[in-house]
Amino acid sequence: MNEITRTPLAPGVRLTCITTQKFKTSAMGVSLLLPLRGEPVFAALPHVLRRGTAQYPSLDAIGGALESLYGMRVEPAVRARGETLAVGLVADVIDEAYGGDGLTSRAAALLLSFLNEPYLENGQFPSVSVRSEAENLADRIAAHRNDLRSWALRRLWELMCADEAYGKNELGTVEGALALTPEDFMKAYRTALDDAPMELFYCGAQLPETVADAFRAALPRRETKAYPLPETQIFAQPPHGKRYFEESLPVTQGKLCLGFRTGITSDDPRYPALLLANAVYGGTTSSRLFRNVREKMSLCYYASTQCYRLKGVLAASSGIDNENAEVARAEILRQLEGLQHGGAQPDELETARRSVVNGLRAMADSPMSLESFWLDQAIAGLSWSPEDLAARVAEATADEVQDAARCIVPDTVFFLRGTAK
Amino acid sequence: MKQYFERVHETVHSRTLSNGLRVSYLEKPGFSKCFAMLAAGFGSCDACFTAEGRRWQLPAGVAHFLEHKMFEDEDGNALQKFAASGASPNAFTSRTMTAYHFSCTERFWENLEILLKFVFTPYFTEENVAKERGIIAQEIGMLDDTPGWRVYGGVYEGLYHEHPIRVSIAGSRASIAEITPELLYACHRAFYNPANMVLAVCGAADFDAICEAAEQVSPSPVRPVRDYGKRQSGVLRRETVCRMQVSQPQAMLGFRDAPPAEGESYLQRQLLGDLCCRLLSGPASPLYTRLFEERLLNRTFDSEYTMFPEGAAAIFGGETRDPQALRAALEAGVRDCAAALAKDAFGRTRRALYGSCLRTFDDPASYVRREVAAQFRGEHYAAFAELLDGLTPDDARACFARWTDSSQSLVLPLDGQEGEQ
Repeated sequence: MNEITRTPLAPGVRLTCITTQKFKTSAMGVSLLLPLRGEPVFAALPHVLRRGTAQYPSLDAIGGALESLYGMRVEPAVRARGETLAVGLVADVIDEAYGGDGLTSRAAALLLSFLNEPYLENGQFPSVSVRSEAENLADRIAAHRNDLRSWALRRLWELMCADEAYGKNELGTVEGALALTPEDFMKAYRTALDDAPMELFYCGAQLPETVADAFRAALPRRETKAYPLPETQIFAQPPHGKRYFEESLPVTQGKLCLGFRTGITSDDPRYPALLLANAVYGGTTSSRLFRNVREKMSLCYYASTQCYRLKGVLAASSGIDNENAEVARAEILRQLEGLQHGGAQPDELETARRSVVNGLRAMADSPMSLESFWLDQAIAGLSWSPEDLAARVAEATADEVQDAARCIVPDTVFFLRGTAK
Repeated sequence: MKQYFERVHETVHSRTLSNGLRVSYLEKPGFSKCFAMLAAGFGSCDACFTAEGRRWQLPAGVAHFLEHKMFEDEDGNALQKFAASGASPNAFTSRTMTAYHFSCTERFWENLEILLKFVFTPYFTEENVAKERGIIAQEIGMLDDTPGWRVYGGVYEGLYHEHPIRVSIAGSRASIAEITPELLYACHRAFYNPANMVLAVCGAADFDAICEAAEQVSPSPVRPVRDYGKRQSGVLRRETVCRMQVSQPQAMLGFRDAPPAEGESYLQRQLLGDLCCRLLSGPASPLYTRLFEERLLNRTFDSEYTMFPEGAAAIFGGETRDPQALRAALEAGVRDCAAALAKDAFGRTRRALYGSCLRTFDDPASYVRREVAAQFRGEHYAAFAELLDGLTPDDARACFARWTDSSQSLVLPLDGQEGEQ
């Protein structure tokens, strides 16, 4: 069993600590929570910070330090969650039982030094790093298109939520990225460090007090004031009614994405029932979409749904031959209507319940899944654990699941037509 | 047999059952999840073989097709049976094996029964084979649109004049059209025989009970004789260019290596290959730093060392502005490393690789995958630390020297750029 503690460490800084003996590595993370505005400077900021610290001013020097810490990993992380942008770094390092005493505090100090003591030249981020990371960011934005499954989903949100922050690309635009200057980074750095709520995470064998001390010693100084969490706009109904968009690319396979509003976020009492409705509809390999659209009709390799708990939306996506787009779209909607009118069959519901509960319990075995879960909780201002949620999922009734399914309202359909032969 | 591996603090149980099946079990106290994998030594490379007095030359994609089809039983689909007992099942086909696995947080024994039953119970009909073709054709379409998959396959195609590694794991729409129930039954009889398989479990279970369940599988007298064709020295093509729509060029460079010598440990060779990849272009290497700063590579850059029948290869690649310059830098780097290696870099890199291998034990899925590969060679992955200690700078130099003999690259130009097919 994991022991979870959440402690405020400084103004606007909180540490989530999961104490467990079962892992050979410790996972750590630091995230600054900003409103999602599609500003490229924040997306590139952790990459610029990762280029050097006062103690290790070059990539070479950082690489050597990390290798000496048994291949410790420190990776920039830029994540849009609801309408919050979490920017920071995630890291892992082997446990002291294998790497010697004091490894955790050395690792924690190194991790925070990227944030707190960046390498500067004349009080600015070096122009070489800035230029290079701005170009890398532009490449990353352009590279979204290489992964068509997630590209299609991204286009769905851009189109469906064009008037909401959720429709913003968390990396910004190529032009915006290429225009960034050292001054932009310094300004963004000060905003992030001085005004954004900061979430720290640790999962490993060290005691919470030891971890808190290690992080506290390396924290930036912060003013005593309020650090409000960014907010997310939620709609229970499509604000613009049902819409259809189509684009084309010279690729082999078409991608069909359907966006829905649920209005149900993770702080909603109906959330556990929505998780079950999603699992019955398209969330698992025994769901209605998998059994019908893939197995029975042989239309696709994947047809699945996912709900996004911080925004109250749900998406169904599928990769299909172009000529099957209409059949697949109709079937995906027909399956939803079936669930809304007839509810889930008892065996179907129990299968879905086991799958969701299994997924939540299995999270306890994965430090990085826990990091991601607790980041979401911090953004939503919630404190229940995966175990608590599993207990509520275990109790949700068939009626509640059917009611939740009725909250899934079609909004936008996006079809990416493949035009390659 | 019960073996304790001191450097990783783990005990591994293993036994070869009377039906020939090799069983390996790693106890993970405190983990919620139990992970099991049953793998057959049958991959895309096993395309030509003689069994039961008949010689077979398979169309591309049979092992992968068989993987898909195994889930279907006369009394329903195994995916749905797993889901009903709360497990997350999946499967994959590589060049050397086909593996079926599940993870669950409850009902482990029920799930193990389902696994053992469906993998050993073929059920193929004209209808269900035809239906699967539609699903796999969509999977192939998806892979064709995935740049990473295309470059990866292209490297192997260029490395050898003749070798089944050149053939795509999934096959093509044309090759899967040739697959019949008769062919699938013949492959199942030849390769899904307990003496050609490994069962590995990681989590909280009972080793004797696992063996007892697996003893129920009937032995088979069929022993296929594989033929991997003739080897020629030198690569087929120094460079292959293929066209598809990508945001920026991706280059992948492959270096051919000799297969392990008689009596050489496969696991140790794998570790040596991984170590050399890391020494040459790992995140702390001078070469990586230089190329990153020159923007000849970015964070998509990766490397891997792979072993397959009668061969091995080191593959490097990712997005790059200038594939030719990246290639030249890597080739020069290999020559330099073959000539001289800094002793402190060797020690530091070996330490970092130890940390990275140790991390595997926190992720049951990746541990089991590596253990299964090791078990096919009669080794245990947990022996990695001792084997790593046994490697010297001379071993690494010799490995780089083998790579200098031949290399090959694949380049994907931007859409619209000139390139030879």
